Amino acid sequence: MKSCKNSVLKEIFLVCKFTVKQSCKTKSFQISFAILACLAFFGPIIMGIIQAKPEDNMPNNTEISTLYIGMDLGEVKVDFEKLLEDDFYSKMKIEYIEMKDVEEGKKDLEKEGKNQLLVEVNHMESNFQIKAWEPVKNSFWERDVETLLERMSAILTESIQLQCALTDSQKLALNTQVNTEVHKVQENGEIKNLSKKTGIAESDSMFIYGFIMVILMIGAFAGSSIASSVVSEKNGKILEYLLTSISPIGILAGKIIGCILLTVGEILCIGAIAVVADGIAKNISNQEGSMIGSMLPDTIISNLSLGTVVLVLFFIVLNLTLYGFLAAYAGSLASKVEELKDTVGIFSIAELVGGYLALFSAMYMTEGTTSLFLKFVYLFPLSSVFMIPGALLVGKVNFFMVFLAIVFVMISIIVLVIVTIKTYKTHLFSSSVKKKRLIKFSRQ
Amino acid sequence: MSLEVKNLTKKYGEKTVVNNLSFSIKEPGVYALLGTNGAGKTTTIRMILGMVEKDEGEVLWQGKTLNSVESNVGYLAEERGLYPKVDLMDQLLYFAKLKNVPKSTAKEKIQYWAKRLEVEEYLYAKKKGKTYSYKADQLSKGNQQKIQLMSALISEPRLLILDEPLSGLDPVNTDLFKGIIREEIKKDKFLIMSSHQMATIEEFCSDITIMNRGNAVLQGNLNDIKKSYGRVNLYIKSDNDIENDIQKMGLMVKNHTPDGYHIKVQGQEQAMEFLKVLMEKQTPIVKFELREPSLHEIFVEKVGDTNEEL
Repeated sequence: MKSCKNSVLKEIFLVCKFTVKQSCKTKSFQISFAILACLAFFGPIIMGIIQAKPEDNMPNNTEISTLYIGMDLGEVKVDFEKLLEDDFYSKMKIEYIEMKDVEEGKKDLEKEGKNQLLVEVNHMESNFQIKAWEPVKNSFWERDVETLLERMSAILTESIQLQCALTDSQKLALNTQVNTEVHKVQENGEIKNLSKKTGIAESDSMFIYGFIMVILMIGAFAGSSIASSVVSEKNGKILEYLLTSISPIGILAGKIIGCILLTVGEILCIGAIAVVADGIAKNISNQEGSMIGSMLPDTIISNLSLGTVVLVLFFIVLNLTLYGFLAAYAGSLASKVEELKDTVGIFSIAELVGGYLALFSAMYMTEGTTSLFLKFVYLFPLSSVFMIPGALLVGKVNFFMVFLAIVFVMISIIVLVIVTIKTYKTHLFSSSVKKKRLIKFSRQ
Repeated sequence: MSLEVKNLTKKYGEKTVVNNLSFSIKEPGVYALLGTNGAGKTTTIRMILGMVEKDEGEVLWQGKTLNSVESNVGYLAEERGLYPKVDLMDQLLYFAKLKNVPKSTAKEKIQYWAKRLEVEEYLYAKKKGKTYSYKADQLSKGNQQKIQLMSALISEPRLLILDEPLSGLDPVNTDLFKGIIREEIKKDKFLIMSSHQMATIEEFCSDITIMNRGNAVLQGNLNDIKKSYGRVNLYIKSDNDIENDIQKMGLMVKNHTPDGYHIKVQGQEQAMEFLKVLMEKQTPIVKFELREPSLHEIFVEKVGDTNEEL
C-alpha cells in the first residue's frame, strides 16, 4: 500500500490554500471586501474634492462691497483700513459705525444694497471676539467672509503686539510652548534621578487609539471566522473525512494561517487601493502633500521606515495568530454551531481585556510614556500585540521592550497551540459542552 | 497482508463503550461489524482509524501500527459530511490532494467515478458553455452519499471502511453501491463494513463480529457460525391443514404465514421424521425446506430484539 502521507507543512499549506480559496468565494467576504474597497477608494477622493484649494474658484477681488465695522476694544486701537492694502480687498469700502448703532445696522443691511457685511469687534473679559452679520440674499464667494475674518483677526493681533511694543524675539517667545522637567539632586549635588515630561501629543495618542481599534476589529473578524469554521467542520461531520488524511495540527494551523493570510491580504489590498485613491485625490485637490499623510500626525511620518513597517506588520500577524488560536480553542470546545455562543466568550473576553488595556494606555501616554503600567501593557501578551504597533509608529517604545514583548507573545502562542491541539483532539466528537469541562480546560 | 485488531478498549468516564475487542482480517474480503445502536461499532471504527484515542489495545496493518493518515485508508462515515457551500469538484480535488493523489490522476478518477455513480450531471454541469459543479447542499442525500463514496475511493485504498454504506439509499442506488462493493472485493481489497441490514451482510461478508454494549458477543466465519447452529429451521407448506400433525410431533411453530409454517426443529433427523409422518398420511407438500438460521435470527438471539430497525 502506497503511503498517502503529506508532510505537516504540506498539510498546512493545503488546508490554508483551501481556506483562502473558499473564503474568497463566499458572498459575505466578497461583499465586505467590496464595501471596504469602496470606502478606501472613494473616501480620499471625496475628501480631495471637499478640500480642493479655494484658489480654484477664488475671485480676484472680494465680493463684499461695503464692510461696516462696530468696535468696542477699550484701550486697544486697531486700524482695519490695513485690509485695503491687500489687492483682494482694494475695492471694498469700509465704514465704522458706533456700537449703539450695530443693532439698527443689522436691520438695515437688507435695505442698503447688495453684498453688505457688518462686523462687530468686542473685547470680552478673557478674549477678543469678531462677529460678522450678513444679509440672507448676499451671494458672496463661499469663503469670502471666513477669509476676511481671519485677516481681521491677524490685524487685531498685530495691533495688540505693536501697542505692547514687543520686539520680534519677544513675539516668538510669547508663542513658544513651555516644557517642564523635574530633577532630583542628591546632597553632594549629583543628579539622582531625572524625571521629565515624556507624554506624547494628543494627536499621536488619538492615532494609536484609532490604530488599536482597527486591529481590534480585524482580530474580532478573523477570530470569529476561525471559531465558526472549526465548529462547522465538526458540526458537518467533515472532520471525520479530514482526519483520515490529515493530522489535527494540519487542519487547525492551516485554517488559522489561511484566515490570517486572508485578513492580511485584505488589509494590503485595501491599503493599495487607498494609496491609489490618495494619488487621485491629490490631483483633484491640487494639494502638494498626500491626502492620507495630511491626516497623520507629523511624528508618524518622521518615524516611518521599512523596519518600523515590517515590525508593525509582524505584530499584527502575532496578534492574529495569538487570538486566532484562542478563537480556535473556543471553537474546539463546541461541537455544534449553537454551542459556540457558550465557548466563544473565552476569546471575546481575552480580546477585550487586551484591547481595552491598550486603548487605556494610548490615552494615558499623553501623560507619560515611562510608567510601570505602560511597561506592563507592552509586555503582557494579550495587550502588547495591540499596543506595540501604534507605539512603534510614534517612536515611543524601545527595541529591547519590543524584543521582550515578542518573546512573551511567542511563548504564549506556543502554550496556546499545545493546549488548543490537545483540546481539539479531545473534543473531536464531543456532543455537548459542559461548563465544568470548560472550567477544567481553562485551568489546563 | 492483514488487519489485526487487538484488545481494543475505550471508556468514557465510568462507561465502557468498547471492551477488549479483538478480531483479524487475514484475507481480502468484507468483515462485518454488527450491533444495535450504541453497541460501539462507530467508536471501534474511529479507534481503528486513530480518530479516537484507545484506552487499551492496538490496531496492526501489515504488522505495523495502523495510522490512517500515513496509510491509504478509505472511509465512508455513518454521518455524511460535505462542505455544504463548496463546489463538489473543489471538495473532491481537495480530499484527493490531502490523500496525496496528483491533480491529474484525481481528475481522471473523478471522471471515472462520476460516470460509474451516475453523478456526472452534478459535477460537470453546463451553463452558457461553461462547465461548473453543484454545491453539496444542492444535492439529495443519496447523491451526497455518492460523492462521499467517491472521496473514499479516489485514492484507491487497499483498506476500506464503510460505516452504514447503504442507509438512506433507494433500491436503485442500493444496487449501484452493492455493485461497487463487489468490484472492490474483486480487486482484493480489505473492507470493514458496519450495517444494520442483515441481508447485505450475508450477501458480502465472510467474517463477522456481533457487538452488544461494547462487547463482542459472537465472532467468526459466518458460514461456520451458521453451521454450528445446524439446520434447525424448517419451512413447510401444505395444501392440507398440518397443525395437528405439528402439535402431535411436539414441534415449536415460530411463525405461520400464507407462505407456510416456520418450525423450529432440533435437527435434520426430527425434520425427516416429521416429513415421513406427512408422507405416510399422503399429505400434499408444496414446500419443504430445512435451513440454517439466518443472520437476522442469530443476531436477535444474541443481542435481543431491542432495535426496531432490525
